[in-house]
Amino acid sequence: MKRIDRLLDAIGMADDAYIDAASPQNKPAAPRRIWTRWAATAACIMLISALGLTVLPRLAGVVGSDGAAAECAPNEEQTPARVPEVEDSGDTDDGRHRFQIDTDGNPLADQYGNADIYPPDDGPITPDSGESVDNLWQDTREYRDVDVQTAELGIVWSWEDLTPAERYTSFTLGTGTYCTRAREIDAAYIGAHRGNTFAVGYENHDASQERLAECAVYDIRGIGGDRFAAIRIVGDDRYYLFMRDEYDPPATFGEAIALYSMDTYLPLTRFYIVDDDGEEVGTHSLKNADSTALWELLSDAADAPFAEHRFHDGAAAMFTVTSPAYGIENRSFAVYADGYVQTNAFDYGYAYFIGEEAACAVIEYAVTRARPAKEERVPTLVGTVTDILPASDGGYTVCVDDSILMQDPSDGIVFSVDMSAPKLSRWLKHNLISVGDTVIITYDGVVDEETYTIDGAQTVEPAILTVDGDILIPE
Amino acid sequence: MEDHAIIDLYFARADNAIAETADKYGRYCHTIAYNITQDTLDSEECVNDTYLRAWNAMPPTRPNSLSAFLGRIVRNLSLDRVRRKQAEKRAAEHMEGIREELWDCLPAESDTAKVADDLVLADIINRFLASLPEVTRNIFLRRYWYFSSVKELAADYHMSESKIKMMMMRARESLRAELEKEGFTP
Repeated sequence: MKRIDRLLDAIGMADDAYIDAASPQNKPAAPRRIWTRWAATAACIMLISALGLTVLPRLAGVVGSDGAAAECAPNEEQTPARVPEVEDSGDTDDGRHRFQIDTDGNPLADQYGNADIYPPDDGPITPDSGESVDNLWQDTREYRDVDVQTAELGIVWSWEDLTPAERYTSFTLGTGTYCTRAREIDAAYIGAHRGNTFAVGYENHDASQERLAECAVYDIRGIGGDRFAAIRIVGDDRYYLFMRDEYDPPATFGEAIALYSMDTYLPLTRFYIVDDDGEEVGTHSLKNADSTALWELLSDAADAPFAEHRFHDGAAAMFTVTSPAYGIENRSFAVYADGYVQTNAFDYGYAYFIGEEAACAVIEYAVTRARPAKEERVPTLVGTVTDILPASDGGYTVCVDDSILMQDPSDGIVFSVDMSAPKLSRWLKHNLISVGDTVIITYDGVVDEETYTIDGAQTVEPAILTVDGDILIPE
Repeated sequence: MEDHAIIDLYFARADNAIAETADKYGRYCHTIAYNITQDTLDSEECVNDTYLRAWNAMPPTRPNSLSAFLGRIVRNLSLDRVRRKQAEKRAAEHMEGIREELWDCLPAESDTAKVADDLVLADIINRFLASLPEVTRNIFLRRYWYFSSVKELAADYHMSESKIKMMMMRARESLRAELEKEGFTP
C-alpha cells in the first residue's frame, strides 16, 4: 500500500467523537467574532450596517473649481464620455461638490466628522456637526476589475525640480538632529521660536553636493520634549515639518499622551475590527466627540507602562489615524483586547499595556458608537492622458480619461487636472508623462461636478493596469 | 428515529433496519462517497454496500456512534473504489489533489513500514487531532475524513478559501512534525 493510502486509512480511524463533531450534518457555528464578547453592541452594528447601505455609496461635497483651468474635450477616438447621473443637487455652502472615487469606483468620502486639520489650539475638539447626508453625489458607474500599479521609475530629480520640502532633509539644533517629514505644516500649528540653524540637503543624493539653508526653528504647539519641530527657511514663508529621529518612548502611556498631545492630534474617528481569527470586520467611523470620549477612557490608563513593540494577531480595534501635526496619514493606533495599545504614529512602534479591562472598555465604546464607513483610501484618479494643455499660469492642465476603468467605456469621464504645482509639472517638463500614457493621480478628493476639474492634485505617476495579470493597453 | 432504535432494528434483524438507516443517514453517506469518488453511480454503489456491511456487522457490533460507524464504512468502501480506479489510471482528480496535499506528511513507504503499524499510526493521528483547536480539527476532518472541498468548507465555516488552505497547510505541517517526532522521519 502506498504511504499516502496508509495515512488516509489512519485518518479514517479517528475517534468517533471527532468524526461526529466534524460531520457535514452538523452545521458549524459561525466563527467566533470579537463582538461575541459584546453581544449587545453587535446588534447595534448590524443595524447600523444595514442603514449604511443606503448612505455610503453617496459622496459628500465641499469644494470645487471655478472653472479657471482649461477644459478637456472627450477623447474623440473613444466613445464619448457621459456625465453620471446626479441623484441629488448636492449643493454645499459654496455651491460646489466633493466627488471622490477610488480605482474600484468606490466612494471615498467620509462624511462623519473626519476633519482635514485637527484643531491645534488648546480649545476643545470640534464636535462633529452630525451633518445631514443629503448633500451627496452618487457615482453609479460600473467599474472593471482592474489592478493598478505605479510604474517603478526610480527618478532622481534635479535640485531645481525638488520642492522645498523635499530639498532639505535634516537639521541640528542643540544636541538634537531632526529629519524631514517631507511636507509642509500649516502655520496654525506653529509654536514658539526655538532658535536658528541651517537645514541640510544633498543634490542628487550626493554627500559631496551639500546644500545649506538658513532657517528658523519652531515648536509644534502642544508637543513637548523637542520631539517635533518646524522650520521656516529664509526667503520662504512656509513651514516644513521635521521629527527628531530617535527611539525614545515615554515610560508610561500617560506621558506619551501628554508629550505628543495625542488626545488632540490623534483623532480616533475611523477604525475596523479584527476578530479573534484575525479577520478584518468592516470599517467604521466615529464622531470627533467620540474620539474625545475614547481618549478620556484611554487617559484612565495613564499609568500603563511602556511595553516592547510586538506584533499582535488577536482581536483588536484598529484605528486608522491621520495627523497633520505629526505629518502622518493612515497610520495605525491599535487597541488590542488583550490589553495592549500600539501605534506607529511616530514611525517606531510604541506599545503600552493598559490592561484588558481598559482595552475592552475602549473597544466596546467604539463598537457601540460606530457608524459604517467605506474603507478609507487616498482619492485617486486613474486613466489615460488624452491631452496636455498649457495653462495661463505657465503650468499645465492634463486631460485624463478614465474610460479604461469602466465596464462600459461610454461611462468614462474626461477630467481636467491642474498640474501647475512644481512636483506635478516636473513630470511634464521632462516628458515623463505624455499623451497616451496611463497615469495614477492622487488628489484631495475634490472635483468640480460640472467641468470635472481637479485642482487639488497631489501626486502623479505613470501607472500600469492589469486584468488577470495581463497588462491593459489603452486603445 | 433515534440511533439506538435503529441499531435495535439491526439486532432484531428487522426488515426496515436498512430503510430507517437510509432515511436518516443516506444523504450523509452519499455525501462522503461522492466527495471521494466524484461519481454518482459509484457513490450509490458504495452507499448500498455500506448498508450491507452494516447489516453484516450488527450484530455483534453495537456502535457507540452510528453516524461515525456508517461514515467509516462508506469512506473505506469509497477509498477502496477510488484506489481500484487509480490502479487503472482513472483516479478522480479531486482525490488526487487531496492525496497530494497529504503527501509530504509521511516519509517513503519503506521507512514507514519499518517503524509502525497501522494502529500506531492511528494513535498518532488521534493524538494529533486532540492537539488541534476544535475548529481546526473539524475542518481537518471535513477535508481529510469527509473529503469536502475547500469551497464547501469556506462556505460552511464562513471563512475565505485562502484561510481554509492556510489552516490546512499549518495542520499538515503540524501533523508532519508529529509523525517525525514519533519516528516517521523521511
